[in-house]
Amino acid sequence: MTRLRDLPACEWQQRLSQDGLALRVGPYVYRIRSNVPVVREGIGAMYGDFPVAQVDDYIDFDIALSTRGLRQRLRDEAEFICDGVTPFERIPLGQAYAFLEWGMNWCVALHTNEYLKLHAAVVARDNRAVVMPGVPGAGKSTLCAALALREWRVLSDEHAMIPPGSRATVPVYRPVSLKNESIAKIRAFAPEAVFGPQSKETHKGVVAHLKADGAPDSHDTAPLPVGALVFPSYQPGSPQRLAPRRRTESFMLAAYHSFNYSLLGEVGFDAMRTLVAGANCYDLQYHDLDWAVDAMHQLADGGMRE
Amino acid sequence: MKWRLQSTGRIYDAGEGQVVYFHTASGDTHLLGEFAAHLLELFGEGPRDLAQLLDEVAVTGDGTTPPEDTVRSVVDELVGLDILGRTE
Repeated sequence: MTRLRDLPACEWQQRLSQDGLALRVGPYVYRIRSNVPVVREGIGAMYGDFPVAQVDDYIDFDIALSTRGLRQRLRDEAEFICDGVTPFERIPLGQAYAFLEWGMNWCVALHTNEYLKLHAAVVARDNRAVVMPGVPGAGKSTLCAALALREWRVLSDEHAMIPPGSRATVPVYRPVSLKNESIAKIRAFAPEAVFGPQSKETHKGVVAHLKADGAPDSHDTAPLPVGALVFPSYQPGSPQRLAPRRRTESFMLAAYHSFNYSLLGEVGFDAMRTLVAGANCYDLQYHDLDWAVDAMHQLADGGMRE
Repeated sequence: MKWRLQSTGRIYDAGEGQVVYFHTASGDTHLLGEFAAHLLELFGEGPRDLAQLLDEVAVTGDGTTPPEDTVRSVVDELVGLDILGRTE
């Protein structure tokens, strides 16, 4: 298997700027094109350990984050293109890397329904996965980043992909997206952490991505059994606790956090039931990352469903 | 007045005193109390009126008949969710 870092920089950069650089991301292949320097920089910093797809591999998502035409060049703008279509407004060049990552999320969120998909971070310890659903701002990405820096494997910062009828989740690792004060928190938590380009003044504020594929099996594609569902909630000033929660309420909340539960209909109900019935469910309320990581270690040591 | 199930449904019961109910016709999912789930089981056998329900919940439950108002309010809730409909 060839990883991006195995290729000479001039080769992959040429692919990126011309016919496209095809990378394996979990079960999918993205072919990425870009003529934007900050995107090139970000891919070099964040995607070095990703497997490069073979020439005859099927391309699931053909995307670009590029500046096209004189007007965009003069205005320092770029646009996201997926399969030849531009689904979003143009964006300032300085936000290009963050927008590439969001565009890649969008591809999975909108176009793949072979899995029950939850908006969730997914981490694993000893080959058992913890799915952490949450709305933006709940603290799931910050916790996910902290766990990655304490030897947990990150399966995804954004999508839990559950094959219907199984209690497993399919890894679809990509860099962890951090926003605003979370960036400084993680830098303080682990000064050795590797970040990609910072995008400022986005609709979410300042955004930076963390390289979180330090675990040796980060890019394995085999599904892992889900041992627990943890619903994180970052709450400064509140008591910290990891407490069991009802499965039925967890079912409803996880369905709320799903991209396609309703779309899948009865298949979605069955998939969610299998997932929830096979996992222990918890609320995790935290404000201190060290405490939260310890709590997750304890969970891994005895609170997960076998 | 009698009510009947509007369509089939699916239940996830984790033994927690409440159930998740998937309404097949609408695709909606509801969190229902245990008593509502019990009434749905009875309606699974066919349409019922209030008097029948009061008899049956006394027989099949713990022997304590819930007040008529309780049964009626749960039935109304299920009608409001379009899980039950009137037959006459």
